[in-house]
Amino acid sequence: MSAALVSAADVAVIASDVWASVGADAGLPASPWPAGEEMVVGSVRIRGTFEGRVTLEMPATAADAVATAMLGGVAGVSADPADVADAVGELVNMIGGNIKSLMPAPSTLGLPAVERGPGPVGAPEAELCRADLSWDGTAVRVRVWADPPTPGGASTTSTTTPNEEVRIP
Amino acid sequence: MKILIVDDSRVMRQIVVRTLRQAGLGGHDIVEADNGRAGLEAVTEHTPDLVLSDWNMPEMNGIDMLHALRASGQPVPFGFVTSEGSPEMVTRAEQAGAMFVITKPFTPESFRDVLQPVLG
Repeated sequence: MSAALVSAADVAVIASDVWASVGADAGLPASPWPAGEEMVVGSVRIRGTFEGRVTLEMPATAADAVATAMLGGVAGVSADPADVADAVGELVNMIGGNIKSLMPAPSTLGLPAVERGPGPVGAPEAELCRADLSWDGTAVRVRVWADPPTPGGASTTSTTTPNEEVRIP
Repeated sequence: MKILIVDDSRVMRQIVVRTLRQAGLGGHDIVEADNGRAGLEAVTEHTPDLVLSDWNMPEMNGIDMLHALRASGQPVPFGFVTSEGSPEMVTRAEQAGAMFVITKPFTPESFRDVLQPVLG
């Protein structure tokens, strides 16, 4: 297997830059990962020498705050559901595009998809790394996933450091 | 000047407009389109002085839009605002006739550095 293509630290730096660009504070300690809350999950695929996807998970309440902030609105005023999906999709698109830039060329980035639900479950795809961050104090999780290798095909992904995790700060 | 912003994300189009203002580059007429095909039509209809376009979009992506513009002889200044800033993407953009590539996430400073010379 080759060396890891992307690290949790890479993901954390990229996501923090994205947060900062839309005026959110990534410096606050991440709260405990919420259990039992409705989640909004953004996902974008990377295809090419690396086959997998990047996911962005956050509670629905946080996604609403994200959309409001990105639209320059007033905190506490709910965003339209379409704007929430748009905002989360754009965030995962920015994160995924920058992660793709770390992958060997050629590779392509898909269009983002956003859904409400429990989030990624793992197998058959493999979690390469994750970054647990905060959006103005609310827990947000970014994960990079590798597709399962095709039969007889070579995988460019590493299994040497599975489930690498980093939290900010 | 008139600026055409092409991005399938309404949120991102608003952020681009806001960042132009924060960069001290506000006050221009803004026209928006949500994919490359709509962008082509907007160029014909509005004759913008500058196009700021995303790369990945449904219907028609930004690089295909740029190819179509140049193939039709349309010389409008064109720049990408995209999450894909890898060297090979920048090379592809420049070879197609783009003036610049601004990588998301961006800042008002990066907007000013790139766009001040263009917008005067």
